[in-house]
Amino acid sequence: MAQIPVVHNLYQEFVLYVSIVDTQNTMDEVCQTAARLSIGFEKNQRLDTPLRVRKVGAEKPFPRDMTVEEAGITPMMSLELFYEAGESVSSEATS
Amino acid sequence: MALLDRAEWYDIARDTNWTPKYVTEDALFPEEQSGTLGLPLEVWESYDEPYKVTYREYVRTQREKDAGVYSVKAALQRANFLDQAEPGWVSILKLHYGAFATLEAMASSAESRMARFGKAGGLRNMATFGSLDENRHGQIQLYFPHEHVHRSRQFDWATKSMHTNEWAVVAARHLFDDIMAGRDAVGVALMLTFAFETGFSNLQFLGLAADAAQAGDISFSNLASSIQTDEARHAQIGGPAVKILIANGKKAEAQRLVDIAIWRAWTLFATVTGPSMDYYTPLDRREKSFKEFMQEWVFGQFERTLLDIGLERPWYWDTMLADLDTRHHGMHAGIWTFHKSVWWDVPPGISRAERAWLEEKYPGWEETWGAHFWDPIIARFLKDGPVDTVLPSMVQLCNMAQVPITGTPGWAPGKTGRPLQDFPLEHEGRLYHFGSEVDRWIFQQDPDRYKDHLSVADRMVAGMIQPPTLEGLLDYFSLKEGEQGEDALKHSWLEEYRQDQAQAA
Repeated sequence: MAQIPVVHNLYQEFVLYVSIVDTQNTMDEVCQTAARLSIGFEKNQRLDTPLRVRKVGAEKPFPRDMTVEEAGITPMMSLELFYEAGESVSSEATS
Repeated sequence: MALLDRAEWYDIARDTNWTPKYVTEDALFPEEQSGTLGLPLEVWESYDEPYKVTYREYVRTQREKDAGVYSVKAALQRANFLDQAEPGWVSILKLHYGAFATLEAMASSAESRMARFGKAGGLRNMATFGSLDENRHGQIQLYFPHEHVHRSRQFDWATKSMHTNEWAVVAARHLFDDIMAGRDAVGVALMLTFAFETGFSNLQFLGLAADAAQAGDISFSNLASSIQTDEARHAQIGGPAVKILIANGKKAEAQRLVDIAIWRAWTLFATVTGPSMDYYTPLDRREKSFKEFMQEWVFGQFERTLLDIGLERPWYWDTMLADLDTRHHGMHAGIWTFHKSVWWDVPPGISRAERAWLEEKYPGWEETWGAHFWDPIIARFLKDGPVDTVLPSMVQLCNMAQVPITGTPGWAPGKTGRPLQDFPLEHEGRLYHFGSEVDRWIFQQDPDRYKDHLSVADRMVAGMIQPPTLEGLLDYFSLKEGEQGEDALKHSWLEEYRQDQAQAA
């Protein structure tokens, strides 16, 4: 159990953040941490589908209940937090 | 005594090359300082500078320039223009002086490197004047802001900035170490004078002089014009050097250096000039958007210069054009949300009228930057009251540009701008992050040159910034009380939105 920094790219945010996660955090908990650090996520979030986590360059996300340690996430690794159900969400649809 | 016309003696007098007898040519012009890619002295004798000037002419002209600028300053000093100036213009001045005054002094040593180690006599002659130019620019841009230090300690950052680890300063140093302080004579000629000065800074000073006149700042307008006329001359050092490299089979090497410098100059301009033109300049004083300025003066004219001289467009040209819709909006958003981290006060530039202007100049701005960035902040401010530091966490900085990695918020296919994206690279066991494929490509051109540098984010993660808090970070930046940037309008801009909200209720 240790805390490590990761770089996260949260869905429709404007900047990459460095956040601190615990190696025992699940992917859902990583998403919660990222959402708390966001400026626009309250506006951008989708309530119909869960946020997923994948390594930059990977196609498939990690399972939602997989831990940071199990996923092999290392310090400063770059993670994408995205919605599987498609990229296109207009501002109107989320307001 | 009658003087000969300059044309009758200049070419002979400035050609001070000789055949070394006691040392080898390589010892006289070591490759690591000259950077001539193995091209011998005789090849460089064809160097033909387009702007010929003698020392006598140079001194006379420079004396007249200085006399003009300093006398205008002295005459207007008591008018106290700055006390009545609009906050956005004052911010531009603070940003400008802090970012460039001592860098100009550093440029003097880069020009001196060309003056000593350039193999072409004409290049050395022009670079000697260039070195004197940059020395003047450093001195004059330290002197002018000094009179304002009693108004705000932020003006003292003209002197202080480059001695700190403030993040924007680290970014500027990284760039100018790369294209100026840490390059050989040919590298400086191509990257500083040809790419940066011809393509960007010469035009920047033209624009600044016009903007200052628009803002009623006659003193600064004169200063910028005076500097620009020097830039216009010594920026021409690089062009003939490019031609010699191309004529002698070194086009690929020349292209690579120019490509690196243009992208790096672009990222600096998007950080400094973009927010200044589109968010800081008072709305009724704006003549062109940053995008229009760049399209016309930089990308339009400089593209023709590149092709005319025999180079190609950089391979990333389309990427750079597309970046015009995103990068500087992101830089402004990042700087405003963490304005304590800079030495100037930051105007948000998002009144209703300013937003209409942004939407006109950048169609789609409202449904991205407006709806997904500014509106959530405004809603939060109206509900809970404004706060100084909106940025909720440390942001990741590009390991090349050293600025935040940004994208268009709320971006989706079909919308203008580009998505937020990391371009990571693992090299010798270390993971690097880049804001674009071009920044990553530059790193890959010479990893040994860049690999040991730590971005401010890397330093935070490595425990080099203690305590790892906002206060610890500001202390690391050497930003004291009275120097840390504020919202330039003290959040008075919120009133318009508060009234809208009251009417809607």
